[in-house]
Amino acid sequence: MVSARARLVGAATAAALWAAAETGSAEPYRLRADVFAQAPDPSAFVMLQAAAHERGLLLVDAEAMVWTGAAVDPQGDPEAQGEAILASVRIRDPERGLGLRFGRLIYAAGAVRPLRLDGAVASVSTPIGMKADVFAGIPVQPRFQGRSFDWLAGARLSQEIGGVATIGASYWQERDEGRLARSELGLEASATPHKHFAISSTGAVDLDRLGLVQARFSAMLHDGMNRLELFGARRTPSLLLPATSLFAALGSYDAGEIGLTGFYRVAPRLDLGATATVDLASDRPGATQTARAELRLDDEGRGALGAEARRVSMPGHSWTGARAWLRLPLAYGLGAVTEAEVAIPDDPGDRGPAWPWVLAGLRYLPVELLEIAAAVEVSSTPAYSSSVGGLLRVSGTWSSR
Amino acid sequence: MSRRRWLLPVALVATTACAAILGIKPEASQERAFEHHEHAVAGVHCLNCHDGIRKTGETGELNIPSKAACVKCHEKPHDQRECGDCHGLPFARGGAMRAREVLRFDHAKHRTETKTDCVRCHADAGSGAAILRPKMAECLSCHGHDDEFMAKDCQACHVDLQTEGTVPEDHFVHSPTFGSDHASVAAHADSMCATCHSERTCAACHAGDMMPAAPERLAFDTPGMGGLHAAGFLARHADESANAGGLCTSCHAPESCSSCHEREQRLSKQAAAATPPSINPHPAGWIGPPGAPNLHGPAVWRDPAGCEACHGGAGEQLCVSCHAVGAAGGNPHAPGSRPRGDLAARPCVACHLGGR
Repeated sequence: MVSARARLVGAATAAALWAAAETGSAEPYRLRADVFAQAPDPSAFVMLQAAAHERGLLLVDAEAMVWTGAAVDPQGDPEAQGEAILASVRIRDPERGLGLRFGRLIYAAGAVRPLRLDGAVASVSTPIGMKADVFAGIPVQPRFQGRSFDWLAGARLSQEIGGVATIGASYWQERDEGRLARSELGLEASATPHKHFAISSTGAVDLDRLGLVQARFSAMLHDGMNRLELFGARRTPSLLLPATSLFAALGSYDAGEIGLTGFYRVAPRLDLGATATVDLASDRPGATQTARAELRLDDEGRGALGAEARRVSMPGHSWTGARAWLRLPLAYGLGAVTEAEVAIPDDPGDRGPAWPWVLAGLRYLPVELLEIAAAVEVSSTPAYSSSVGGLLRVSGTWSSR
Repeated sequence: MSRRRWLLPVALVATTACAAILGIKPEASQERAFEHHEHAVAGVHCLNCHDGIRKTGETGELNIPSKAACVKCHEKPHDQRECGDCHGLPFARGGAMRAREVLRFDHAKHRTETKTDCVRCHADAGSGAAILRPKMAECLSCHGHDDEFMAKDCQACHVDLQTEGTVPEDHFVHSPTFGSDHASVAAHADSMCATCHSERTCAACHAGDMMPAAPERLAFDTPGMGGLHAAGFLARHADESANAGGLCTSCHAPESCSSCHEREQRLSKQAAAATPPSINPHPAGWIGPPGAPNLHGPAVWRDPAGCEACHGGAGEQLCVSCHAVGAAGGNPHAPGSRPRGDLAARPCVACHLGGR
């Protein structure tokens, strides 16, 4: 039986797709279709992405992202699947600084974690740099499994200061069958004192359970080509769960990390990158180091050869890994791709001494805006001594302009 | 002595080869830019060659001169090929064609405004540069666009920035790790991000388990991606998630784990060759009588969301059966944690029967 909510999302999807097709001819509308199939864990689906814009007295944007297909369910039977991931319409009045977004959407701004909701976001921007968002809706669960009495609502207020800094505050709460499941207050601050230097931080506190949900900071030097960033994060995993979960009530160790990452274009075709992180899980410190290099084989970067090495040190979960890849353009729109990785756990137990993974494939662009790619992958995982699979994707793009 | 004689040529060849591989080229060979500068110095006005510009609106012909236009002056071409095959760079012409697609621009209108002084916008014409498309700063030197900036209305000039893919010169560098590092920056720059990135970009990851496959999986023909789920992530995911308590919940709902693990369980039964025989995700010593290692205790405190993924909802009873107040499992709360909540209400009441 199709639920009322499924019908609602279906109608919103249809409206967004219709809007994508019906907007004025002066503005582009775009449609992308991807057909994807994989084996031996068989599944196949078609994903449609549509976007359209209209300019009149109001600016109207519509976008939709839906997929449907079939997979084998846990019992081994074929099962039809599908999801409306996005189906939203955004209307803006640029002169008055007013905006409204509604439908199935993702709200991600300020210290509010990305929220998926069926609902609406109303925005007001003022000439003095103040912006306010108010949002409300029903949290989206996979496969149309909305909990009947859930809803969430919140607001965010931010103020730009002197064109170089922004401060903001946000609040949102979520209900689970009428009970308060989350109630978070977020604060944010960012500054760009120089066009090549930016700092930002966010923090969210659970007001009901009184604890830091998560906090992040970043200080970044960048010049359009190279980047050096000091970053950090701290989370309380139990506070990320709704208060109605038993696992939230058990409490948790804090988790987080502090690290430095850099990206350097050494030569026009050679990029180097490195990241070093110290993990701040309170009961067992760990560290991660990653180094990476990519050499483009032509000025446009159609071909590339790259390698990455990684070391993760964490009691009970340490491993060392290496990865290499190659993109090689061939003739007649053909290209070859291959990627290989091996991860070697320090303490393999009964999971196998190493987990290699290799993918080799071809991509073909017979005409502009049509792309076909196929690959074979071979791997060994903790669950399987060996596994061979296949992947196929056919992508087409259409545009009115 | 003979070794020394070879040293210099070998070093030269090696240096040249390395420079070519790395894309380092001497300035002179870097560009085969069209000789705009030379034509200007010779007194040839832009409109002599780009005549159609007088009437060109937002759409229509590009007005890149053909060989027929060149031979009007260069009566005896030194070659039979199309002039543009050697003079000017294909990517410069490609850029102009792309600009026609992605920008709203009316040359005819601007010709009147600038009194046909093309260099006023195409300032690089005199420098011999390959690409003469004016930088955005040059547009803004006349057009303040304050209203458009205030309204974040980039579409006034850019047809569709999200598909245009032009990166501002002082943009944040989207290195391969940016996908996993972007949260702090994106928190404040939602409007800026939205300039180029549609909501579909966010959804590709943040829709989590609503997506039929991870973004890296869908783009399997783009090897070297730096995402969280790149390459052989499936083999590593248990260790990766154990090292990042709570992080998976940014995108994944609890059902994500169980939907795969249930399928894995079925597939492993069908696959006779599968080893090891058990695909139970928990290692030895995970659970046992009081006094046994009972590794599940610290694990749940490190990542309770990981446990809820399979044991949430009705599965919570598995915990309650041992850890209810007075039962053999003892106090399950994390050391030092002071959970708040009404003992008589869900979820506390599950173990604290009667609210005690």
